[in-house]
Amino acid sequence: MRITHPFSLLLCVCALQPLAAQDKPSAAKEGSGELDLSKFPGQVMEDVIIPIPSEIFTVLDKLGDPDWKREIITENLPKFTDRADIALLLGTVVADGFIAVQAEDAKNVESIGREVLELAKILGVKDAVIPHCNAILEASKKNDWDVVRKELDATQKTVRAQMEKMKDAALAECVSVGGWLRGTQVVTNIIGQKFTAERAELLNQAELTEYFRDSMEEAITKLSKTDKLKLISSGLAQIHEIMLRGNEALSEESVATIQRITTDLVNRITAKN
Amino acid sequence: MNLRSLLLCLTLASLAPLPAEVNDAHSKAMEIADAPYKKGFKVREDYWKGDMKSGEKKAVKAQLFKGNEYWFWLGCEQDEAEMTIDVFNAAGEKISVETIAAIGATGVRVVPPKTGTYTTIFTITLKKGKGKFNWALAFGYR
Repeated sequence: MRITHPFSLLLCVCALQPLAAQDKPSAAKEGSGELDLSKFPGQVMEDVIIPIPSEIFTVLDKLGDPDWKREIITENLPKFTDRADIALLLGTVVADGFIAVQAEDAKNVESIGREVLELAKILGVKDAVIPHCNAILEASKKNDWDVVRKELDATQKTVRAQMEKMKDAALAECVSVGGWLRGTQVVTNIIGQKFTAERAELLNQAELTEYFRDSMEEAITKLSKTDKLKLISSGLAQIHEIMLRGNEALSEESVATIQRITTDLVNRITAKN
Repeated sequence: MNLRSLLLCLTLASLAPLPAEVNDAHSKAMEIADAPYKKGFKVREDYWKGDMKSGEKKAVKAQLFKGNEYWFWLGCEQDEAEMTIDVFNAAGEKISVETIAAIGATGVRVVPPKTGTYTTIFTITLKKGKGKFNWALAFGYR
């Protein structure tokens, strides 16, 4: 972690205090048991920080011993020219990087680092991504998985930031959606192999899928080639419905359906046109 | 200065590296994150940021996963500030279990009882001065 604040010596931890568990904020609906942010007396930030696959993988590791190596895909990347195709593909490749880290597969991490660089070059963000890719390659040689994980997270953040700078916010969302779909495909694979309600609870991501669907719908209005985006939007709508219907307790069948939808979409994203 | 010297100066100026963007509020959030980081929390590279007026309230939503624990770290570019931060579930109940405070920064630890969307609400009130100031909210998990 990089510490840059000049007053580090002045810093002191001056309070560690337990908190009452049942305090309510002023926007809680009276008697409804819901937090109503439409009545929040302040600003609700619109920026959404997308969870990285590792956040869920960490929990799965705690709940068992998943076979991460089995989830690794080693196929040559398709050659795309459309920027949305490339952005979606880049998202899945970064997610593959997180899977390779879980599997502690240095060889795969290295090849993923190179693939990220290749895709970043086509998207015109190579220079910004080079330091992360170099760090990934260096850390994977030393089996320093924490650094690889941090640099994969940073790669995704940098690509998104560069896309937004280039007024390509729709493409930035494509990177996130590609990564989330591949991550969710793997998560549902692992949950399906040994289903428990506790594992399935990790898929309570209804608000996130709604956000992704909205962002795909917006991308459809801005980008020229939209067939793939329409498929993804429709798939996300189905997943959203399943997550809402599940009411925080997704069945084995629901998990299998999400697995099928995400697999179809990832196959579509990674298929040679 | 003749035209040739002027052109040379302009060329050299354009080649000089620009100072890296320094976000003091984020740096303070990272300072307070140091102790949890050393205890195994992975700090996310992405963070929320913006500016606000003294006493204003802000809310951010985040997807959290049961089985992980999280720290949210709030930094402010002003040292003389009173800061509050809490995390609430969808029912509006506070789920914060521990807070930490330092100069120009504060943090809250949560252990989500369920997987889902949670809302972090914070305020920063300046002890001196007025006007807008920068803030940053980072988080980590383990």
